[in-house]
Amino acid sequence: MPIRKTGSTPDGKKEGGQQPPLSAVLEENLEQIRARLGNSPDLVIRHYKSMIHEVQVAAIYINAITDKNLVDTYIEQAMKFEFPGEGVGIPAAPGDIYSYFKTKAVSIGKLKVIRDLNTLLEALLSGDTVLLVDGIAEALSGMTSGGEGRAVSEAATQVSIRGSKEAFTESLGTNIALVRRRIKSPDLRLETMTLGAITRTDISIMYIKGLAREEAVFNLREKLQHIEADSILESGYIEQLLEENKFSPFPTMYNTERPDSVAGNLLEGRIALLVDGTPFVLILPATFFVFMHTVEDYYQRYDVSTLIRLLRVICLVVSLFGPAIFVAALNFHQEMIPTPLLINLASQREGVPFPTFIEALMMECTFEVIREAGIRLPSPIGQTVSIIGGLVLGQAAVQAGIVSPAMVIVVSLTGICSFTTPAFNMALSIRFLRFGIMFTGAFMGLYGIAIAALMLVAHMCSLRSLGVPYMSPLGPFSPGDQKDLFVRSPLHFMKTRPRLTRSKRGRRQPGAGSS
Amino acid sequence: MRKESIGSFQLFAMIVLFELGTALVVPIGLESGHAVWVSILVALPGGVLLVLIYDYLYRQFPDLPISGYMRRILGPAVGWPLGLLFVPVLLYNGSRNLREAGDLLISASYDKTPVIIINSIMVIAVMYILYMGIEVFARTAEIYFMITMVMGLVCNFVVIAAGLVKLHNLFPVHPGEWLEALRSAYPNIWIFPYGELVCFATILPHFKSARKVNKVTVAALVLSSFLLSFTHAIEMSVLGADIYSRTTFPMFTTITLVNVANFIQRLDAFVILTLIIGVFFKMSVYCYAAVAIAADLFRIRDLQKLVLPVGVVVLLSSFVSAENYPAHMADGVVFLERILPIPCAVVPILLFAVHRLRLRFKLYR
Amino acid sequence: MNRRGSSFLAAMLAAMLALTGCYNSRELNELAIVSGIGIDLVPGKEDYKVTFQIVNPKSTPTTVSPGSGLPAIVVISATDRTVFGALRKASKRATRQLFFAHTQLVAIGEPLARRGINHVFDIFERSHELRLNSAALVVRGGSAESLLQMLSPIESISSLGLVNKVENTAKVWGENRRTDVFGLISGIAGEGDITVNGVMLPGDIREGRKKSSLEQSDFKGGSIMSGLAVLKEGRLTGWMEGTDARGTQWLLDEIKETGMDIGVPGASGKLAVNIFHSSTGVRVELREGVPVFHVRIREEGNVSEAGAFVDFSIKEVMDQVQETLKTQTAQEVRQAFEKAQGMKCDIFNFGNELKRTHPQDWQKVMNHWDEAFAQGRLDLHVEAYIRSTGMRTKTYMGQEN
Repeated sequence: MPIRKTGSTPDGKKEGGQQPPLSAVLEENLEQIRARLGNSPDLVIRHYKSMIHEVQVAAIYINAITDKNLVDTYIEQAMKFEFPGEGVGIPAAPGDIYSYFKTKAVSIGKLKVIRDLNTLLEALLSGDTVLLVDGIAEALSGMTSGGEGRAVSEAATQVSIRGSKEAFTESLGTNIALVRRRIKSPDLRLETMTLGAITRTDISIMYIKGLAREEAVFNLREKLQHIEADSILESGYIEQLLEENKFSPFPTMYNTERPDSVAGNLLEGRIALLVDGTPFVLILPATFFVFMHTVEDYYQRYDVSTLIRLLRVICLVVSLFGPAIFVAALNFHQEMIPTPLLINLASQREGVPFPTFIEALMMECTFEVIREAGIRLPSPIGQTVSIIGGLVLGQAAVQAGIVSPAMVIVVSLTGICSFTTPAFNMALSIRFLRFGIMFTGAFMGLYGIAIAALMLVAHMCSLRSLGVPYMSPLGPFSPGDQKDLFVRSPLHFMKTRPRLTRSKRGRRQPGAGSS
Repeated sequence: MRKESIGSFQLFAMIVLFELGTALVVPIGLESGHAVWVSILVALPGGVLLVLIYDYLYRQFPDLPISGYMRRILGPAVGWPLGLLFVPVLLYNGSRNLREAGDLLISASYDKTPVIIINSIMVIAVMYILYMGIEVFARTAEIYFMITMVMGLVCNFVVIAAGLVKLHNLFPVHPGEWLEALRSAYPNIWIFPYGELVCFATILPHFKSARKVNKVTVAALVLSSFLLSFTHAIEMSVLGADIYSRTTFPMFTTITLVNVANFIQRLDAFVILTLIIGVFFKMSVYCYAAVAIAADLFRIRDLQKLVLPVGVVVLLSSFVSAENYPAHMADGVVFLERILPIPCAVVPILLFAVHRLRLRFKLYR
Repeated sequence: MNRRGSSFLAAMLAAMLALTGCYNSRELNELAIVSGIGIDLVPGKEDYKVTFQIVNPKSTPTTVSPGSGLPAIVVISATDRTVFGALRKASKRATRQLFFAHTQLVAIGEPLARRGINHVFDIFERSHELRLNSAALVVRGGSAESLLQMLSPIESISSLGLVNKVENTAKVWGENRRTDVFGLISGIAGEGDITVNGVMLPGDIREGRKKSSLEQSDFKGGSIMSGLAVLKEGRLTGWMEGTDARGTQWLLDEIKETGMDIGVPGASGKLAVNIFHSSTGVRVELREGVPVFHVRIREEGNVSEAGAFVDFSIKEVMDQVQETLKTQTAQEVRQAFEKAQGMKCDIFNFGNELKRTHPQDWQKVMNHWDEAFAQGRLDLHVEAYIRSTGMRTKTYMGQEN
């Protein structure tokens, strides 16, 4: 499969000449286009003959992916040609007509000149309308893409109590607009490129010049240009292709469907990566703690936000180590449990036929199954599944004496705790790691857990996201960034941006610095 | 490959964790009775002097590990074999730490688990972090520094809240005891744990800001000395001199006595964690030092290649070296008094003196 | 580097999992949780008879089962020359491995206490499972076995019940205190002698073992905290009882709260004073070879009950009450001190104090400390304060004239 490295930008930049150029004969061109698209029935070719000058003109577009009104306006404008200052009845050369189209008549946005067939096809397939003039080996394309798309609606995966209700849609243009509307700065930079040899997916890099580090942007651009894939269907593809450590369970890119989250991250000097066809925008570099924060933290008062953040960290620890510590305590370190509790637990475990570890594993798996089953089903049925799974199964298992009640408590507690992690992909990784740690806990007790935790932290410290150490600002420690880590200090204290993602313009608030 | 570099706070955290390492949990300076906490403080000035010597040598040769400037100062003919002698000493000391951790874990909780398993798990973790490089190691140290501090605060708070601290076990310190404290401070506590910082002579070349090195190392040393002294004072005040001197694991015994409101009791887990973290970082530093010196001597550019052999050597020698814990402790006394002072104090001071002389008489080409 | 690092991690983790075994893993339902240990002397032999009180988890009701109705505790015992030997031999009678980390109570029979207990406690220090803060009791006039066999009416696990009983009475009455193994060991290792809390079994021992006897409001068995056993060099030499015990506690600064009945100035009834705060400071010095014990006691109390008319609003009356309280406290303390001197047992930590503060002086008397203690002088200062008279000032009874 031939893979093309493409850096073509659709804003009229001329491509290299290795592609087949357009012919000067209109019919030939049309024939070729038809052939290349396999006589597709949604290809519309409208022939016009200019009344006065007898020049053949064709407008080509693909039916469903263009905006009807735009196409009509475009063609209408193109056809209403009258040559100012020239006599009537004088046959004009096709070149004149063409240049007239090009410079004067067409008021459509994003007009571009096409000189070869491949670019023409690409333009067609992305919803442009192409004008071909007989006798000219060039084509004019105007952006008329449109058609049915989802309207901007409420965020489905990242719900917030306070803050914007808008969420990204599948359309790249809309998404860019949503961000632009939040940051009305001329420094907000947008770079677009097309990736995927077959899908030709548009992606955009967005950053704020002067805030994002130049090397990071350069680096990212470089990496994107080296992506060799024939299809990009979702931002997840890019995420996986860009990841520096492919065997790590931890995500190194944050994804969000909230424009305000993107805006916030852009303002902290991060870079957003928008992909056409998905509402999930990638944000990078993303360190571990980015996954633990939400935009809403900044909308609520700082004290509440701080407490909620601490709660999240505690929940993260519980969901990662909870069952492991429980199993280790019950199997290895019974002396750690207070006596009355131990007697209570012992009496609960009387008659339970499985070892604690197997019991925990069983319950954890059941929990994961219920969760997975609930997600895929339509929401009314999903709720039924969780009720059946959670209540009936748990209750019945306890009453049948197969599982001890304490285990049900621990498993459901860890399950609920794992839902407090705001980023879904991080929560998934944590849940996955939980099993590993449970193993070490069951085999080696607390010692195993401690060593596993040490290695886990070492592993996390070794990760980097776009050059930024994953555990920053804890390791490497930067004192200035602690104000927005576990605590969220009052806004007027947060005068500087995160150290490792920002460029020289570190100051956030006017009066204190250059912004 | 990019040169790995570590920052001030990272170095600070590494030194503190290294110092606290095993010294926090095992009894040190046995001879000084209930004034052990005084001995620890008394040994501090000596420790600071030693560290200043290491720092001075580092600033003279900012890109070289100790074996490197040893060859520069003493000439390759003397420096190379002397550097080679460092490797087994460091490895043995690393293996001693491992042995102590293993034995303490076994006597504290894992009485039925073979020592080889306990030790191998620890060695695997150490090898992993060495494999990831000094930068990752430093970052991990930073994070665990904070975790250790929090745990230390919790433990101390709980011990004090449980009303176990009896200050009369600490005071008064009589004149005779001052002498004893002084005697156990020099050279024992001076060398272990302060003198052991010689390992950092192999890590310092990665340090980012050479100008700050004095400030960082001395601050870390002072902090760890105060923490050690405080912890041992707490242990001593809870247990009394008699039990403290007889127990193999005073911190563990201290914590087992805790009973707050009949619910918070037996916080052994915290102590075991402290032990594991401390030994892990201490051993890693030792192994790193051994790896770095060996790599420097034999001109091996890829440190990762040496990690596995070093790990295996440390693991094997940890349980081959002594047949039981008392024998191990007896070896330790000899090692501490006869061998350890050479790399920790004698050689650095010698290097310092020779370097000064050569500078003075312009003997460097 | 990253790829290699990751595969290295994977290999190491795999090695780790392969290496681990469940060597120390024990399931809760394979363990017999020992709540109390009793140590007795086998009559006529050198052997220990060690009794274990085991918690029966089946009897605790849970959501799953309503509780089997069996007694909450099971008692088994074994004899051997060493405590550890008995621990292991007990396996012949136990279906599950005995688990000692939750031992709350160590009871010692009086015969063993008389013979000496110094050798018993090494295992408590050496083992990581047995805890040092288990309470220690001497069973007065009985065997530890019978104490552990006794059921208890409110606390289903009687060892826990006994510990609660000591702590409860130590907190409000003050004649007893919770002596634990750790304290015993440091006492034995230190200078001077020790006291251990005593317990008596006044009721019907045979009835006390039956579950049926728990089903009546008036339990026929039962135990009662009784005095402090004085152990001289590990051997039981006498008992401190009643006010003597309280005096001892006072000298040891162990009084948390207690009640004193003091005479009413100028009347026949008694006044109950609740001492809610007391602290004792001790200083020991050697004067011409004779130890002098400077003891300063400061107590604060409330009037809790007045058995006769007292007008507390008059300052002189209050002063008088305080004075009475002071002399009565001093008397109790002095009595206890003299009794200890009579037994030549320094149970008040005075030796340790001298050694700590004046090591040179200690050198002079350390070899004949018992005699020196017996000749020592008590320099006692008591300060007593009445802080409040409760919800009323005067009593409802009129002045008797």
